[in-house]
Amino acid sequence: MALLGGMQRQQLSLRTASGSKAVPALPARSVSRRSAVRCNAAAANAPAQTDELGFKKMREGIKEAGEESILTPRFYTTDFDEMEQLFSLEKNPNLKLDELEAMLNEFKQDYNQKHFVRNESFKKAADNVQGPARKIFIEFLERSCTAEFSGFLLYKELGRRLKKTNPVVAEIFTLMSRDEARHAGFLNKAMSDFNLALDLGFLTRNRKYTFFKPKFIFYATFLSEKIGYWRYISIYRHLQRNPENQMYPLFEYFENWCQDENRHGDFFTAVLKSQPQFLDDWKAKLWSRFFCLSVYITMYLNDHQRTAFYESLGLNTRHFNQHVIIETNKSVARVFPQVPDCENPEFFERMNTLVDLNQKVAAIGNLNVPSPVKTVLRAPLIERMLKEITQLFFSAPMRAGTVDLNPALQSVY
Amino acid sequence: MQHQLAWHARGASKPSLSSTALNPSISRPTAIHARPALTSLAPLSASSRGSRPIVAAAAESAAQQPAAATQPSSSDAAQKAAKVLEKATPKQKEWYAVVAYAEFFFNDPQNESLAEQLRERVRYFKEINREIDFYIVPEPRWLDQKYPEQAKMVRRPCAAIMSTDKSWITFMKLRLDRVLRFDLGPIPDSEALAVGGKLPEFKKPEKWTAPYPGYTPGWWEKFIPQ
Repeated sequence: MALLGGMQRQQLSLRTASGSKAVPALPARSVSRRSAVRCNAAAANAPAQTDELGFKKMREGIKEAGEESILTPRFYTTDFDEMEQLFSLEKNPNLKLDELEAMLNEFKQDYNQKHFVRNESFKKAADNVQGPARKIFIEFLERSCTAEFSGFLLYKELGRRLKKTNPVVAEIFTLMSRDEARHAGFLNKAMSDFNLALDLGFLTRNRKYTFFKPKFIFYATFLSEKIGYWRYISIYRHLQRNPENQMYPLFEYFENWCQDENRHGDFFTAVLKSQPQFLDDWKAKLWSRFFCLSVYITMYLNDHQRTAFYESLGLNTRHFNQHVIIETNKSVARVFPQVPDCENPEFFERMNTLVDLNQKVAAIGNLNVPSPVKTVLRAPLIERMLKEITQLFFSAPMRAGTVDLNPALQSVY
Repeated sequence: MQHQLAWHARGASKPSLSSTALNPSISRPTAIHARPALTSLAPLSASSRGSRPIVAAAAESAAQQPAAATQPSSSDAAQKAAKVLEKATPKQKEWYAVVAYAEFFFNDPQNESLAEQLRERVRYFKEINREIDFYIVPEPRWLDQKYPEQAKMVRRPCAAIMSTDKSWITFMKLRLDRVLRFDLGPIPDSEALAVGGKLPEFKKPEKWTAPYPGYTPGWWEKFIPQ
């Protein structure tokens, strides 16, 4: 993590969110406030209690939020005035609405209205998750819950703010926040099966919000929804074939659940297509690649640090991750103008080198030496990591994009 | 919820408030939708570009109202004749489709979400007592008959995902992107759903990166019209 902190200072910031969502950090405004962040979530009034797994509790049954780091999901805020301008029908009379309206109809169907209903098997299954898996599992739930809740907060606010300028888009955001609230609530109930729920109201008030300009919100949330779909569906389908690894009933809900993620992603495709200025110039190409790489690399490093979790589900972390990246990249290539060439063998060779280096950096963190010494020891490793990342960024990309804006991309269907 | 179902019962999507407000013409169909065939090839026509005027979008919404689309002429006499004709013949539903190479739909790990979506939709329609209005049509006969030029752009064997729900087909085009979209207008169901060939037995894709096997081939059979 220290490594990633170091990178953030270099403004190359890799950051991953959670089990379900990986969102890159940009050179965002909040970076400079980073030091102020650490203390706030922990600033509960009551003296912290610690349970037998080492989790700090705010009060009985309520888990103190994990310390924020480059690896934890963030809460986002954006320039709402610019958002209003982008979607204003008065200012953009040519705004492409048919796809947005089609998305609104899809969300109104509310396919999963009756899906998120728990049964009595949850609590029992949770009691049976013991040993090292229990801790990893709670961390997975917390990251996922925080990421879903983060989506809820952002979408809810956008739904509120856009009501007047664009009722269609506003309603979509509101309906997406409905989905995210359901997901977050379901995950938080799961946490309470482990006697450790999150105080989401407290988080709302006390967590740091990262500022992204609207176009970065679009790129980042689009990617995080699509990668969320591929992660959930891959876990679901693996467990469907290997039910003996189904340690907790939560995963049985993933098939329907991740259709929501996929649709949220589609909405951002429609948004980007309605704002072609975010797709058609050289800056858009560079940002597309940047966001793809940030998300893929952070997920790859993050998950490789938690192989125990994926192994407890019977998955091979590397295999699972590579599949998720390859398919997410194909989904994303349907709208981003350029994407990294993940199927070039060099791509995962470099990614694997990054994992090795990152593990060495993490090992230094555990050494019993003064921190300036650690910094010195890490420096050459971090330099090599940056070199690998730079080479990933500058290796030949693949041309991509929607055929609606680039008819030449596809002449045969 | 009820409101939303009512829209679907008519097979139409809800026109947005905003486009209605900006375009009083929404209730008066223009020539655009009188000949759906001419404007149907979404990826190639101007209607799919970002620059499309909002009037066109509104007109398309208006086109979803079935009565509007069957009137080919603006003269009063012709309109009356059309009305008489409309009363005499049972109303035809309007059909919409996305078409692509069958391998793309059924043998690409990227598009396995199609199986999930259709399964989800069947489950959902059952929950709300809505009749199924979507199908998979292998080698649709209408493609070569009505759209010989576009048909040449499609690799064979191909398939169409078809529905009378225009909004859903717009969504499917958005999701799948690399497909041709067709607005067929009001045609008899028998014509829209005429199957012109069989889907082959697909070979397993050479590259299979997934940590799970693919869905069992043939899942699509139950969506093919009898």
